[in-house]
Amino acid sequence: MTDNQPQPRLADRVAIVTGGANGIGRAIASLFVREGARVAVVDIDERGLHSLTEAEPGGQVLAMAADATLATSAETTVQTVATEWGGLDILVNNVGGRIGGGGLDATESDWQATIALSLTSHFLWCRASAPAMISRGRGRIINIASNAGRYRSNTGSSGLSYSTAKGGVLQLTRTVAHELGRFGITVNAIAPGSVLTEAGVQEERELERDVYDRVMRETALGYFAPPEEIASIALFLASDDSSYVTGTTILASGGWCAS
Amino acid sequence: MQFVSGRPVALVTEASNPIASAAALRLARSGARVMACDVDGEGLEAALDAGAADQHITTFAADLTVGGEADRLINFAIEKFGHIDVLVTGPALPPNISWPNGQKDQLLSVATHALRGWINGVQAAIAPLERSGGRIISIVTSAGRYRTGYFRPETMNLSSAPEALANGAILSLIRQLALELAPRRIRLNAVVVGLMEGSGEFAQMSERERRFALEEISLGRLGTPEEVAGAIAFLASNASNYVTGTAIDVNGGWWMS
Repeated sequence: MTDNQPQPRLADRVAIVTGGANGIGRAIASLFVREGARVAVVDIDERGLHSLTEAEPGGQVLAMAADATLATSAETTVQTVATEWGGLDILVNNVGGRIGGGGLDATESDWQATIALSLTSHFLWCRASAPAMISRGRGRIINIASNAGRYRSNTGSSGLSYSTAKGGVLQLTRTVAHELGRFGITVNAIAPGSVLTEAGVQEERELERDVYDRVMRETALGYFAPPEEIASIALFLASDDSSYVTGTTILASGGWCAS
Repeated sequence: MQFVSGRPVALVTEASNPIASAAALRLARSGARVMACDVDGEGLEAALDAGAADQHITTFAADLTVGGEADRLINFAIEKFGHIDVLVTGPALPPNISWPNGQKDQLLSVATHALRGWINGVQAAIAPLERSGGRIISIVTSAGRYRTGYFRPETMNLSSAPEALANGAILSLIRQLALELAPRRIRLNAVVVGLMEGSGEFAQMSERERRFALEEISLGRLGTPEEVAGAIAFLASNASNYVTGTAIDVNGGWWMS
């Protein structure tokens, strides 16, 4: 940690990060690269992917322009990574988001699109990645959930479909952890509070001043997280330091709520 | 991963405990200057000796349940190192008691005694930790969050209620103090430990119970103190900046919250 010449903590590891062109996923991909990993980044945002590969020119990033909600994207990516880099060590299920809005007034198609993006995608990538990890007898799966899935949205604006999907991600985390544990694979989740990604900043700008002040007052540490402070938790979960941690959710909400 | 300050000072209490001593060694190996404290000075030397040969760990014998001892510890650390960045509290392990039979008020007195060390240590450390923007990390047993033991006891000879009470109280205090000490730049978190290699609990199980226990644990094996120390190192570092008031299970996927 403070050794004079710190060892890269993910040397020679191979990772996949879904939705990694922007925001938390991008911060994770960049940190993993800095720690020696080779990272396949899957995103539909081709411009974001381009800017990421420009920023990480060392050949450690493989940009995969694909829709992470499709089973074929997951299967193709795992196959490509296995061919190019010889296997898969770490899966970061980061893709997610809310489509449409509202609570019970959401349309059925928005509801299903949100569940597909934020929950079913995690299932598809776990399913596609597990065999490659099982064959090596080790692996790390890190699911990016939300405090909205554990308690409720801190701003109140995240919506029913999104919160429900994120709650599902936490249960998927526990259950897949138990299923894959005997193969030496750990599965954990991070439940962030408000994060200052581009999308997060935009969401906060749209909040009424009063709501913003309330959430800030409720956040013990008194600030919203830069994406790097979520990425550093993902690094812990990807590293040897978390070898006996599985099925857990690490709450990263600055003390907004904890249990 | 970086510590709060370049060459942090970490205090570890109940450091004769195997998990606490593993944490002391791990933090030292990662560059921290470590002071390890335990009521049992000789046990402390023995616990740290195995790995401490090339580490710089200062030992200090003190009973933190006794008034003034925690201040003596903190003052010594400040004199020696100038500041404190991390406090790791070892597990509260009160003895099992005969309950609800037996002495009246024994549950409360036994649990309170174990809790007193934690409270005294934390209270004494707050001022120096405020100056450094420091961390408190508590090693808590499963009894505090879930319960002890894997199985329904066949007989109810002795109760672990004091352990549940003391460790549950520590988790409650961590949540509360994370809020109250946030303005003073102090973060508090816990690791909740599962079944460890070398634990008495596992040794006392029948063959069949051991098999059952290992089936319950997702990873299918016991943990090691060094693995818990890995999670403690995370909570001691800047990597956990946005994490406070939480408890991380380090149990190989037994109970999951």
